[in-house]
Amino acid sequence: MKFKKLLSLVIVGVMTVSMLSACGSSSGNAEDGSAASGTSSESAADDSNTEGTEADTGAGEEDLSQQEPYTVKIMMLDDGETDIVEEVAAAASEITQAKFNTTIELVRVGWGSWAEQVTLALTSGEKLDLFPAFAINSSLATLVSSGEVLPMTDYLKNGCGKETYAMVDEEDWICTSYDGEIYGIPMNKGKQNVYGAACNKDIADELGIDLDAVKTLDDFGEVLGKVKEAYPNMYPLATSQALRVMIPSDTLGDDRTCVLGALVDATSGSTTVENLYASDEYREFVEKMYDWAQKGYIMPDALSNTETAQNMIRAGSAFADFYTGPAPDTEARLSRECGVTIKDIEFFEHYKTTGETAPCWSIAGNSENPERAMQVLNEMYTNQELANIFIYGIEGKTFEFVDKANKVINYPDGVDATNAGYAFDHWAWPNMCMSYVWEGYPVDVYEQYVTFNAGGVLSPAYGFTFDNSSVLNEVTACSNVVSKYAEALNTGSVDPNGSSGSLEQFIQELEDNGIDKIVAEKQRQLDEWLAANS
Amino acid sequence: MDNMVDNNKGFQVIVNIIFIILAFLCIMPFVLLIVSSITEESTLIREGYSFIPKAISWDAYKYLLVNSKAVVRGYGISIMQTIVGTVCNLTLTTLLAYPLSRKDLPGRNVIAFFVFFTMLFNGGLVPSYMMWTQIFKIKNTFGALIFPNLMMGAFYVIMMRTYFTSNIPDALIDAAKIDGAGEIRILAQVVLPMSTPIIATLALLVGLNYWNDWLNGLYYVNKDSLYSIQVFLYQMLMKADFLRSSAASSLPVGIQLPSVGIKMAVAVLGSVPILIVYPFFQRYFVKGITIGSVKG
Amino acid sequence: MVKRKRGTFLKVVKRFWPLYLMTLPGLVYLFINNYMPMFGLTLAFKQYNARKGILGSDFIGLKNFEFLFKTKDAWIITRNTVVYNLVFIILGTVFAITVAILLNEVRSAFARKIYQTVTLIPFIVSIVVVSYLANAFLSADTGFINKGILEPLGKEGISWYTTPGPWPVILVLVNLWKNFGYNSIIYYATLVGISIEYYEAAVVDGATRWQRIRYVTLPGLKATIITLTLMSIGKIFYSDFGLFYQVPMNSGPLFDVTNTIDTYVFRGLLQNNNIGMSAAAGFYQSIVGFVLVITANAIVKKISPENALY
Repeated sequence: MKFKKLLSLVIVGVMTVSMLSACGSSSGNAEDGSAASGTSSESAADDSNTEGTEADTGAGEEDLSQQEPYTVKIMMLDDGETDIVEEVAAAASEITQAKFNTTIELVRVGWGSWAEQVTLALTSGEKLDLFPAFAINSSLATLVSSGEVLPMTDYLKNGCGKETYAMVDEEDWICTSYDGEIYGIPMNKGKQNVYGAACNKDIADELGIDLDAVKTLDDFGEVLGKVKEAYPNMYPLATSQALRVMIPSDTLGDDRTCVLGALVDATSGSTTVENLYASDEYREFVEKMYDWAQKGYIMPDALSNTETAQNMIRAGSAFADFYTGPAPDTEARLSRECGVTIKDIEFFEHYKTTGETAPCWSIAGNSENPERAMQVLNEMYTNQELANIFIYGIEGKTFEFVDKANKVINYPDGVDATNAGYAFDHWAWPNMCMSYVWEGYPVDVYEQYVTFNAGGVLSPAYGFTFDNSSVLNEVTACSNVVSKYAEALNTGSVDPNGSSGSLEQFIQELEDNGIDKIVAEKQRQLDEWLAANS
Repeated sequence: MDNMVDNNKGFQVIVNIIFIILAFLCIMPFVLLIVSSITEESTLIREGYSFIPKAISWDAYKYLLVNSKAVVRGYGISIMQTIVGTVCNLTLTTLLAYPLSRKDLPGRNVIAFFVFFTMLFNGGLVPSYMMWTQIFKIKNTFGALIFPNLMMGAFYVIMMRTYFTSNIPDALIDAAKIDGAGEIRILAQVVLPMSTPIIATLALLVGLNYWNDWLNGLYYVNKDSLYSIQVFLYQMLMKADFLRSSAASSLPVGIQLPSVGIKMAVAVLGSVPILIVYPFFQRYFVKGITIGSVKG
Repeated sequence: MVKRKRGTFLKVVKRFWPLYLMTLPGLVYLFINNYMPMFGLTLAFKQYNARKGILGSDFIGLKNFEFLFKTKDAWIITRNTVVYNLVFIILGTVFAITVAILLNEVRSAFARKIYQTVTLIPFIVSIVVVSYLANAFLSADTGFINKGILEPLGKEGISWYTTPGPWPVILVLVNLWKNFGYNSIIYYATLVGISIEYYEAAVVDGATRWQRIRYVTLPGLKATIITLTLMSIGKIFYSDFGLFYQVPMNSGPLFDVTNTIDTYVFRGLLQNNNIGMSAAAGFYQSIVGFVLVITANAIVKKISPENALY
């Protein structure tokens, strides 16, 4: 027994020592890194100052190609075959080497493992410079407080990010700011909240339905009724993606699938935070969905269905799908994906919230040289050639010009989405509007986007970022409650006034688990933010 | 060991019927899986799953044929990973289990506890990831598919130790010692030749773990040349999951999702090789699996 | 005294060094893979900051553990986890032993082999595939049970994924179905090792088939049962994520009967990826398992020392 104790002591001792030394060195490195980044950001400021003076004296720009060699590692979501990704990185490096003496290392991560891999890279201190900060289960506030992203205000205002800074609206920068520092460049994508539905126009035409006349959910319900009548075997409303809650709310940083405190009507100008699920609007919505489900507009299996809306519409087993965020090219895109003509209808006025603008490109906390990362990021945003290499890959291999004058592209012969080896999600790169136009899309699609983004109502909380760290326990508990009830209610799978899984129970459980505390905290932070920003 | 005396016919019939029912329950779902992978997609959506499909289509497999590069490569990686991983695991396990089985070895209980303790506590993903990627630099190497969790917990060590204790007579080891054999020679020439059953059994169990593993691939690899067939399957699945998740709720994600048939076909492709291989190992199972001392 | 001790120590080393050497690769590996990352357990008590590293992050006491206990669901998830595991252990053992004994009664060696092979198939496929299989049967719209059985019988289909009632049974059945073949082979392997003389003696004494099982077979299986149960007890606060998350398709209305500690933590942290909190959950699961195993092993050591794990 004594021997046992002794041995365990020895083991623990050895472990601790090895741990301490291992981590000591790694945390030491991290500190060195941050110290270095601190100085480099200062030096960046210095550089830019000198640059400024040089510019004033007309001496022209500083030659950045004479910098020390550096590799910027970029992590980007969605699939890419390793060979092609390496080719893309090499092509991109040609540009950045000439300009900055910087090599690009590009890693693409499939949607399926994106959240895991990015989180591991960020938390483990792995080499990483740039990444799109979204779809990773962490809010900006969390990323900032855990040191996983670096501030870029200085570079943007005075340094190598000046061009980008000028190209983005002032108010959009607030959406990626926290505590007065900017932590990311908002992706230049559709930024409006639009609630609508994508419908199969071919079927509508066949049944003589005028989709332009559809303005409200009730109108839409009538359309679904007509479709159901004509096609009794069809469930007209597809539900493959968690059915959206059609209420024009500002979720104040939460995902639409789990809203813990929101401005229920973001277009009304009210700044009162409420529990969305306890609102009259929500009750009305889920009652309507239950009614629709009873009438056979929504499949009874919605909760466990894994078929996508696109597949279902193509197969003729669905007629429409709710969509949030339709944009100028949605009809073109969905028509291509569904193989039928798609027509968008919208139910509410457009409005802007932090949530739609906040997805951004950030500099990772472990970046060894944030300034060099910023130079590349700025170039990705402003240099059309570079942007398109990243977005579409290699000309002649993954894409081809159809109309060079208008910069219209398509797949080369014999290539399609299944074998291109490089997935295109232009909106997820820093500046979609720099990208070439896909054949079949309007040639002026990006101008349309600019107009589209410029309109719309601003939510009163536009720019506000919520920090949930003081209510983490409540958030964890309430997240579980929401995933327990919301999807079933939203898809009309259960009766909101029934005995099991009813709306009353849902609200009661949320309250039992402290939703009021979250709402109050959100309200407090929002009020503070409003006071500081008005 | 066969039949134990008073076996009457009626009893035999009942027992056999029970097993035929059990066997049927075990196989039936797989038949449904295979059938649904060749059922025509729209028939499946309209008519539901059925053992006798109204319309047959090989589209799912044709689709996979288009992607055959990924599938073939996936098989290659899976096979390599399974073989190398199993060999490494068995080497370490045997070397550890044999001394633990020697009742005369001082401190063997302490070592056993050291081994057993790992079944209860683990440091979590992030620290493991930091260690493997930063100290051992295995990210995006073949080693990443092998090394993390190579021993898969202490269970197999304990299984093997028990086999040695109950199947290798002490007298045999003593005799070998008297003949002047060293410990390593005893292990190699006396113990191992008598241990085919446990080695075959563990080879199958460990191999199964490696074959079905996608976690190492998910965390430590993002190079498609290192994706095993299970990672390929998992990635496909997770795309669908992602679309249902919160993050995608407002984004124009243009992912082409595999149809049900394709998912079923990939599931079939992922399971078939192991189903083919395992009957060859299975005959050793009964002799190999010994847990707990058998002293009667 | 000291000298003599050192003498024995040297003697031990001299005599056994090859054996110790053999254990070295395995122990070193376990040390690296399992013990070294254990410094991560301290994360459970820290507010993790990537820039400060694991040891440098701020200590916040037990705050990370609060979410496991403060919620109203704490009781439900703990109950689900433990009760399911207990049912799995008890039913799984009983069923596996029954199958093993029956298998032993099958006279034809060929049939025995076939039955073994077939009943092991479910064990071999991954749980992801099992969740597809379950969906093929249970899907309300296309599932075989509704479309192939209930509908032809003129009965209304059941919306399985929104009806919690049957799920405890479904989960137990799926678990049983997947693992019984493997477990029964373990018991069968032990069973065939029981010396036939015991049975012959029992027959001479006029024991019935049931008495032979009761007084010869079961005692022969005791050691195996104890070992397997001890191991399961260590994992009693853990649950098979695939079984409780993927098989029920993460369907909300089923949570009362499918939410376990692992799925709860996973869902709770989807919105805020907090390493400290997940480390706390893991720590909690481990420590409970550890205490239970130590206790159980101590009891076993008292009652039948030769069956203790270490």
